[in-house]
Amino acid sequence: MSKKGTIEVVDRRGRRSTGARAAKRGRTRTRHGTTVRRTRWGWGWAVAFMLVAAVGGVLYQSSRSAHRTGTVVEPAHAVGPGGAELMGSSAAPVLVEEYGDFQCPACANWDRVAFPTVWRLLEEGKIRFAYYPFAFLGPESEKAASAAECAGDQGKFWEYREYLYTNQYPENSGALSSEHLIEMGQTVGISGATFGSCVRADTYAGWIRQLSDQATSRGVMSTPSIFVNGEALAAPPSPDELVAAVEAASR
Amino acid sequence: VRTRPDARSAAVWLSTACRLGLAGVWLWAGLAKVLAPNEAVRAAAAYRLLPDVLVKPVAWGLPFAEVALGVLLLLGIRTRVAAIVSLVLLALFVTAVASAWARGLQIDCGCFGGGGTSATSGWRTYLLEIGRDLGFAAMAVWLTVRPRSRLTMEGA
Repeated sequence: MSKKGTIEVVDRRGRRSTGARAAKRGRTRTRHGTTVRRTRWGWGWAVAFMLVAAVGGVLYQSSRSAHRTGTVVEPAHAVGPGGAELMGSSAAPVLVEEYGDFQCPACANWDRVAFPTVWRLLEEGKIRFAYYPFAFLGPESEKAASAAECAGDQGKFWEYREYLYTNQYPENSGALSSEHLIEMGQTVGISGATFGSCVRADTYAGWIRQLSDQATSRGVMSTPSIFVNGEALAAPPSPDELVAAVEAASR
Repeated sequence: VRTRPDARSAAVWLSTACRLGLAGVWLWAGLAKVLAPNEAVRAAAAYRLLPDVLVKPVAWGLPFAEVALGVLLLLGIRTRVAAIVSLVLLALFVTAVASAWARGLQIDCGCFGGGGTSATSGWRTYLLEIGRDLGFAAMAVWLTVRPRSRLTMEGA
């Protein structure tokens, strides 16, 4: 159908090219006695390619997410609502919940500023406090959160949590290795081999992923997120705001 | 027909650079999210723009589309189409970031860097993100106008 030299391809900008290869593409029209082919942009299959990739991606990720959670080992000490770690008297009228990520600087900051107030409210019997280790910032968040559950097995969850927040490292820098996490446990007074093997095996990683997915479903999009009697506060509260919210909720 | 061989070949090489640069951007951005689907979902949710049912499809599908786009650009197949799609995506991203900024959202995790100067690190982050996207958009515009480049699998 094409004779070399007589086929000319004109693209949208009016540039011409000739040759059998060029002639394979495009719509034919005749101008000044020569066969002129207009190249098309080829929207069709290029866009289809991207759409197929997108749809395939959704299917792939959703099938993977079913497996990704992996084995879920529920820690025996996670007795709070939704598997949170819980402190305080069951007679306390107000439930304060925190979603925190051990690598998140804002969480460490909130811990430093507001946690003394949390302790005071606990001692006064005004609140129960639930903490969800939320893996938000990547693999080392998950590892540290799993290690905190291991510490909980040894009855040292809150001590370990505090230690992680007061000793933060740059995100996912390799600082929160098994060895280092085990050392931290020894610092807060955990002895024995059980803790070490629990940390090394990431025993609670699946549990943490499940907690994190539930947190996302609950609308938690940033850390720290604080709930008072089930109501999300718009921002991490200052100590005064926390006291005010607790008092409002206990009325 | 105008023939300015020097100018033309410089333009063709500039197009080549833009094409490969954009390909790298999309492949990198796409793969990072393909490999971390949970983080992608949370990032998408944090914009608070999409209805709940669309968050996961977008967070899971878009990265693959970005990779596909990167592949088209890398191979130089349908470069103009890929450039226009790039432009559309970048426009959407800039709009989303600007809207998050305008609504005063503290996007990513609410971790305000290290020092606690949250206000400044906030707008600087947003400006940087938007500026970077506009830079990529400039490359896409050039590529839309001049899709021809070297080292391709296809003529134009």
